[in-house]
Amino acid sequence: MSQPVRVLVADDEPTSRLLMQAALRKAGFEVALAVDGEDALCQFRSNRCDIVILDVEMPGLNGLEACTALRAEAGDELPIVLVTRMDDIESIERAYESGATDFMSKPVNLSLIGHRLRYLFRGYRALLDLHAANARNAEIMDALRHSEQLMHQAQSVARLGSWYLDVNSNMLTWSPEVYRIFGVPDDTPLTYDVFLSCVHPDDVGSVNQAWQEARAGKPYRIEHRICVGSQVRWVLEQAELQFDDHGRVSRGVGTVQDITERKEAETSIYRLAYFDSLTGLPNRASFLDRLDRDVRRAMHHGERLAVLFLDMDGFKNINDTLGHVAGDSLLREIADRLRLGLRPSDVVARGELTDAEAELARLGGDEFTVLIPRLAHSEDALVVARRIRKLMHRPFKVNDREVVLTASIGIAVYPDDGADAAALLKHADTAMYHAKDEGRDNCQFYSPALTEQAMRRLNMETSLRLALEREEFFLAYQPQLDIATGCIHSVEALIRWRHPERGLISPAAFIPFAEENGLIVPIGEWVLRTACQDAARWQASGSPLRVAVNLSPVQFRNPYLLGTIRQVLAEAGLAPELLELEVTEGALMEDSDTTLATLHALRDEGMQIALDDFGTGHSSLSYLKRLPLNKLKVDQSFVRGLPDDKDSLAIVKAIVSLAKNLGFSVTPEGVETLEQARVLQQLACETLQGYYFSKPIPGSEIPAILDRRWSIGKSVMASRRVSEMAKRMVGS
Amino acid sequence: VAGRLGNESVAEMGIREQRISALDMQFLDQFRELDSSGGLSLVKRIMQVYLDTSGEIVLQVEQAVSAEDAEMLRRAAHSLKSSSANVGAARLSELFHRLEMMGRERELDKARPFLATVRQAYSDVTDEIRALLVAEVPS
Repeated sequence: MSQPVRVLVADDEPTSRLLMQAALRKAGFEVALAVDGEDALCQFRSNRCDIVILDVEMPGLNGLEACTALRAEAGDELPIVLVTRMDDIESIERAYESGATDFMSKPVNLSLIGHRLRYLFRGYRALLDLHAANARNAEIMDALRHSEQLMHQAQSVARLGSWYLDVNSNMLTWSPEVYRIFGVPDDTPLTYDVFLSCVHPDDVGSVNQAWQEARAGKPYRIEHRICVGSQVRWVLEQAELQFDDHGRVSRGVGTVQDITERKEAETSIYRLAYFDSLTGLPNRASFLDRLDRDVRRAMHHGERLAVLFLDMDGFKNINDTLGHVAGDSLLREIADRLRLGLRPSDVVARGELTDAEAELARLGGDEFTVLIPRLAHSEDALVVARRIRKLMHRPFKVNDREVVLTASIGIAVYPDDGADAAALLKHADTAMYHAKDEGRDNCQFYSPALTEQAMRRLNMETSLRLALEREEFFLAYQPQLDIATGCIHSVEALIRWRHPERGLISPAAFIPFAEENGLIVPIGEWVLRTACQDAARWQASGSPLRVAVNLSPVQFRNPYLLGTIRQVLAEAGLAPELLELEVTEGALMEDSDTTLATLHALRDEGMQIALDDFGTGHSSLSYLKRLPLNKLKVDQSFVRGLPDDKDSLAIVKAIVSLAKNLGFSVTPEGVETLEQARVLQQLACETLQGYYFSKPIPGSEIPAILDRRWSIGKSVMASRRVSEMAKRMVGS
Repeated sequence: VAGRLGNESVAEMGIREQRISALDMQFLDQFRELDSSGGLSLVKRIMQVYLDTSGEIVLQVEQAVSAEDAEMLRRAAHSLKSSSANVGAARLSELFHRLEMMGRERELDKARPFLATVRQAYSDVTDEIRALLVAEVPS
């Protein structure tokens, strides 16, 4: 007992008081004495005491009366012991009625009284503790109820709800605000699926993913949309999960906050910050952001991009004469035209497909910009610029008046004209002033060399298109001698271009360009069709001649190749066996599986396949072995050194031997002398091609050459004037 | 003698003082246990209190009987019954108990002739207590 238990003893008889006092002190109690009932009440009021012992028989206020009074004052817990006469049953009953806790009878057993009181006191204290605990609990519960109420009020103000999930029992609890936010009736039984059904369909995936990641230990924080009736709202969800010893989620506590207003504010701030309010186009800040991103991407991928800077010629004048309102409406119309005219499908400028998506922006005033990412060729930017100028040419209607506007456009290309967004924009602006200086309605690259190059290439492109339309192309055929018979059995078709102003243009000057811009596909198709028609004519006139047509790698990659060839053969009425396709090593190396499939398909149709320019590429022998070829054509660079150059001879020998082993025939090209022809004959080549026999000749001359016979036997051939002599000798 | 008194029991004192017989010395001996010093000071204090207070109450008994106040007799006798028991005067206590019963039963006529016996017994007890207290006062 840290604090002594204080016992108040009331007895009017002094010797009894003394004895009680002595006995109680001996037992460790602190003792207060009262001489009668009144005195007991007084002392109780002035001094705390833990136990009261009242003698029933006292003058004045007797023990029973004092007990009743004390009980009323002290509450239910205070132990009050009444001391009665041994035989006084009536007093004992009345003692309990008056609220006594216990009674003792006289004479009191002084040696036991200590135990008796301690026992009473323990009960008393337990009762006190219990009552105190109950009181505390009640207080805590009150406080909890109060703070819960406060929390719900605060949450309601903050539009913040909270939830609790017990994973083991799969019990989900929502605060009232969550029900309100999700628009779910209060009494709806809750499961994770109820929650998911509120989530916007487009966000279910990301919510699920975030939840799965949270279960794996990541923080759970996600902004997503929910559907409340017909409304779409935004919420922010955050949660903390608790894990058991096995790392499994045991429970989670989370909050849900309605952030719709914030989101809407963000969107409108974003629109204000990044979009031009007049035209709805991205503004300068937005454009520079985008340009910066695209420059970095272009750098990473080694790509090019172009920035077009547009300025409306004469806009200021219109603004000044017709007023700002008219000017604004004109700007809106310009923006609309640009937007429509630069849709991705329209920006596919040329034969070669590009997935470029031009980004349009208004920098301010009458200045607009266009960003062309993934620019394949500089001239593509020029094409877009021309389109824009054309878009502007149609008159605008302002205040019932027709207004004609032109655009001056400057172009800067990454990386040629600048390494970052600011430099590119500045240089495109500078180029625009160049364009204005050049007489408006004009377009200039920042670098003059680029302008010139792009112009040249664009002109070339235009010319090539025109060449097809105006039939400026024609074919020449170079005969190939079949050594075994001494006859011409096949010819190689070669394209020629006669430009109306520039005269004959070498294939080497335009084929690479046609390959680059994709025009090789229609041009190649024209070659194929023309050659097949010629061959069909020769066949019809009784001279079946195999015609060899070159296929560019671009054509070979074209998925429509096989269909085109079938159609051409069918239209011409030519047997596939009379068509030989010459492909280069470069074309065959690119994609082995597709390549093999195409080659097999062509072979299955009956066509012949020749590998052109053999020896100049990097064909691996093992790869070559798998190709379904008929023929190797030995590049003329190896033939040129024959017969004296040992290295050339060794190479040609090796090629021929290789071809034989693989079952291919061999046709050397560029045979210019009889000596070369003889060496190649000795090496067992099947056919020969070169000026020694014939240069490429017009198709009309082919029938005449078919009757000729050549012999390259040592005794016979002496002269370089091959054809005439041979014809005479063989023909005679 | 005084030097040994602290450790002597009341019974021993009784054996030594053969003439004391109104007090139950063995009863008083139990109070030693209650005394913080383990001696007899508690017993002496009780006896002193008894001497100081009981005379007046005995007077009340006399008055009650002469005034035929049964309730007053019952109370006074009840008090003296308790205090006399507390000083080991068992026979005297029994006499007061009878008086108390007479008061309760309102048999005052029985009480009057009984008073002489009570007076004598009370006088014997107080004499003995006085003698004891005097004898026990350290010299």
